[in-house]
Amino acid sequence: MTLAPLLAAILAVTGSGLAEPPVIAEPLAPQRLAGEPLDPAREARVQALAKVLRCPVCQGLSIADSPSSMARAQLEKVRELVREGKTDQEIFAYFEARYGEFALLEPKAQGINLLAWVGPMALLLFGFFVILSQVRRRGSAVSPAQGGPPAAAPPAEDEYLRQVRSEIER
Amino acid sequence: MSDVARPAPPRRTLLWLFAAGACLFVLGVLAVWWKAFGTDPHRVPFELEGQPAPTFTLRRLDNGEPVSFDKLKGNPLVLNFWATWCGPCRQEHPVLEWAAGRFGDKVQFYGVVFEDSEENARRFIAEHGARYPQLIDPTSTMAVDYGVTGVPETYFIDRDGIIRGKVAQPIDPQTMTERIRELVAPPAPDGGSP
Amino acid sequence: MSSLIGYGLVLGGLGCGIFGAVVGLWGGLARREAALIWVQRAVYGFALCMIGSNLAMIAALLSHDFSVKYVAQVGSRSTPVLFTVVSLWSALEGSILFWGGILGVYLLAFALLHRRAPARSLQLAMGVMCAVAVFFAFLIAGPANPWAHIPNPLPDGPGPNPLLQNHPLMIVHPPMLYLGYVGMTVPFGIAAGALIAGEMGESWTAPLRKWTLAPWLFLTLGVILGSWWAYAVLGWGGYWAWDPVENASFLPWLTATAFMHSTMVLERRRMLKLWTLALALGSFVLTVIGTFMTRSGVFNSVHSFTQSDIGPTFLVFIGVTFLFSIVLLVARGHLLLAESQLDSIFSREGAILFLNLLLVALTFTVFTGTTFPLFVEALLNKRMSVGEPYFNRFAVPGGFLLLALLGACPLLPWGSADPRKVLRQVVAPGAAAVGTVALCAIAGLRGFWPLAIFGVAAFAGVVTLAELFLPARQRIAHHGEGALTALAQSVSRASRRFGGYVVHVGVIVIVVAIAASSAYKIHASGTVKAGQALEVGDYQVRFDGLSSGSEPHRSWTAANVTILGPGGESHSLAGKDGPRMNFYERSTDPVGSPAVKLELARDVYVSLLAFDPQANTASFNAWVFPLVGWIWYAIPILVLGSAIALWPQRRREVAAEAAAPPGAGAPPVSPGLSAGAP
Repeated sequence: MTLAPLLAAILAVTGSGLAEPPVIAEPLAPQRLAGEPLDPAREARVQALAKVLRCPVCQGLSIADSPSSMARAQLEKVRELVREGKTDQEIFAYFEARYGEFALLEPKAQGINLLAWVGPMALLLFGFFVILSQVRRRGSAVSPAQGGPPAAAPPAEDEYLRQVRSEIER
Repeated sequence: MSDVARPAPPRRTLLWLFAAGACLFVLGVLAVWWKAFGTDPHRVPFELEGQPAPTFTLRRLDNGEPVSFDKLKGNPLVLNFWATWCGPCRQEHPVLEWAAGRFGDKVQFYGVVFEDSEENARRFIAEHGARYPQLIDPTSTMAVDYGVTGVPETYFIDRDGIIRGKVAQPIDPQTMTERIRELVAPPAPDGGSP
Repeated sequence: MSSLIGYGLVLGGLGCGIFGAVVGLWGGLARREAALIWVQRAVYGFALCMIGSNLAMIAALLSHDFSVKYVAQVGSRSTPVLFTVVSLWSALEGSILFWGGILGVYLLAFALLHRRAPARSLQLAMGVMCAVAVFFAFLIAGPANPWAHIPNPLPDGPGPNPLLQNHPLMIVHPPMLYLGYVGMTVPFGIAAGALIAGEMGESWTAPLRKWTLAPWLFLTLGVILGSWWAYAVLGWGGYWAWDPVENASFLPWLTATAFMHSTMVLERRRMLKLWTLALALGSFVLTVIGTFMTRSGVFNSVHSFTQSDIGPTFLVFIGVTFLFSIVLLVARGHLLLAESQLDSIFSREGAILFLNLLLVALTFTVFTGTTFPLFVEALLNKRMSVGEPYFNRFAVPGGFLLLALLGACPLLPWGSADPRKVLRQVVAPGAAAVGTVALCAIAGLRGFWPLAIFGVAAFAGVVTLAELFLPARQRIAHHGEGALTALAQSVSRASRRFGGYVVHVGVIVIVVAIAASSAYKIHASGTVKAGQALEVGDYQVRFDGLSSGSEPHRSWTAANVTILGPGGESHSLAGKDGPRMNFYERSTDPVGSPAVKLELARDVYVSLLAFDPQANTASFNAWVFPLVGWIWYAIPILVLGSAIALWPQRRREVAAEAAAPPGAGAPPVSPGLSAGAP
């Protein structure tokens, strides 16, 4: 069986299909209507879970936020899993088994992902110590030549000095 | 300038260290971005390839009879997820019709209606015809079981019920032919032929 | 013909840019002050060419000259005139051209306002700016050329991207963002020029600050308007999704904000010189990175309609600007080390240092989160996501700390604080904070972070308002001035201080609005028959049937809804005003448009999920968002504050302040760039 005539035939078939004018006679919309929420307590859990699961067809939206039909189907699946009494971990594992770690909007704190979690904290801590190290140690020489306004005004006469301070300070 | 201060040597070293660190960081970032060129930022991973297909029991659109996945095992299976509201699904419909006629003796074809009403699907089938049975997935949860990311998507499942792959876009005849060939190719010695 | 003119102007701009960069840098390094006039002429030439090329493109768009590639790409005879002009920035090539035009305007403004500054700093600063201009002129002339000639033009074109022409905010949001991005070129030029010259005096601080404040304001507006657009158009009930492109605009905003504050420490205490310059240089590099993120097609983003192949060019430019900045900072590092040390952490400068740390850590977090999926994919070939929950985990405490510092800063004096005095000042705002939290708790509001943020916002609000009106009150008390005179005097005497606090008020409003709208939103979703209502909080959304219509580029189906308030008031949204679905030919899923009922205290937001004409039912997502509108209603406050801070000081006062003792906080007017400023 050679492929060429076959393909030609196929193309003829599909060609006629494609040649149909792309005019939309009537607006087409996903018409399966939104699923019914569970009881408030369980529905709250559904929404919390849906908030951290990624809608695959959207750009970074969760399935709780996305208005797409795909997200609605997945939200319905979360409801089903919650109804079956699955734990959060089992529900995440369900989606991970299908869409990989891509499905989790919050990276799991393990393996290489730890870098994303630890990095900002490390920077913050490091910066904190750098700032602390800049503080003049008590008793070290003061360098009056370096300008710098007088330290806080003495408490007794503060009102007038405060006013001056306020006026010149910009 | 008046504010030139003789720097203490350790601070100078520190500055160099900082600069070197920043350069390394930026170099790494640039390399990562460079590597990302040409990749599709919208690609969604599909982890079920090579895994046993999830089981399901769904009603047929035409006669309402239940179809169970366990009964379908033994023969290769092509599952097509579609909806009437999806333009590309309409475009690929003739390819599926053709393939069902051409390969229907070796492979089972099933359509699964995704996020759509039965009436819509019936009307579409009445209008465009279908040589293969359609299934109704009323809550679309079976589609999620299969890791669908939207419609149209076409799944290829071998006779042992293992998902061999999927095509997540309107399928063209050549891809369809190639995929089906892989599916019906003589399996490893232990695979029974139908 | 117009292709030829437009492209010729681009080449002219490229030539002027190269000439200005070479002469400016050479003249500055070789100390040839006479060359300044040629640098200025090059800048004028570049500006005229780029503005001219933009005007030529608008003319080509308006005359539907489809022989121009860009017009053939985005033009259409059926597009309304306004959106035809707007399509100048609706696709890649046009937006880069627009970018070049804005750069021209900025360079022209800089050259005209600083005619009388010392030649050397001017030459070097403008030389660096011209070098940046060369890159963009090169992009327009080569990889992203909008002027390519099409020999056999078609009679009509497809028109701009539909998503970009369905809301008036799209007319103002992109230009604001570009004004912010491009504007960072000027502080980059000033800072790099000062570093090259090795003149590390204070002459550059005032112009650097002013030329950063203007783009900072535009960037702020661009970001807020963009989030407003997403809220009003995309229909998912949010305004910020930590999308890579949103993040891209947020990054330089964070560092520019850090810069605006660290420069105060620099001027008062002569500390943080290296740090402040690094922030000025870094903000510019981040704007280039932001453009790369938007335009390269590497990131998974709502803006991915702008994919192109100019990514590698940008990558090279990012590398070059970064390396240039780092080399300058290291080479001049010994001139930039602090002249004084911190006396105490409990001081104004200590608080600003922590603010800087916080902003930079947030920058790093947002950057990491945005790039991390690409990093993992490059390393392990595994796709993963970093989304809203990750960013919020850092941004929520970050926002809290930000407000806390905003409230604490004005209470802490420069130098070191006297604990007893600070404690006395804390009493009133502290009471306001505790009272606010208690009131919120009594009103039934729960949750740690929102209540904490409301409390600290009350604290910061009281402190800021007190500081805002303190000088006026003292003028009234001590000089017996009338209230208005006193206020006007206090504003004009310390416009930067007053403007800064006004901006702070705007920031407090925005943070409170963000916290309230995300913590206390009420969501309902369901399917209703015509005549029935969906209940969301105290509101009812009644479905009154479907309506539909069509326009040249799309058709739509809308649900007519009536929103019934708790007091029995009703608000009808029918036809195109109702929540609707738009059907575009090429799009698989329909694109929804929400309907929003605006109130001062809350928005009722309805979007259509699905409908069934046979059964006459519709499914809705409905939300009540408390206070959400205040995120955008705060825009005038931010504009007012920035305008006050930017307002030129009258010369008499500038002279008076110059006579003030050094370190007293007056903007330095020693010979330098500022001498020529108005």
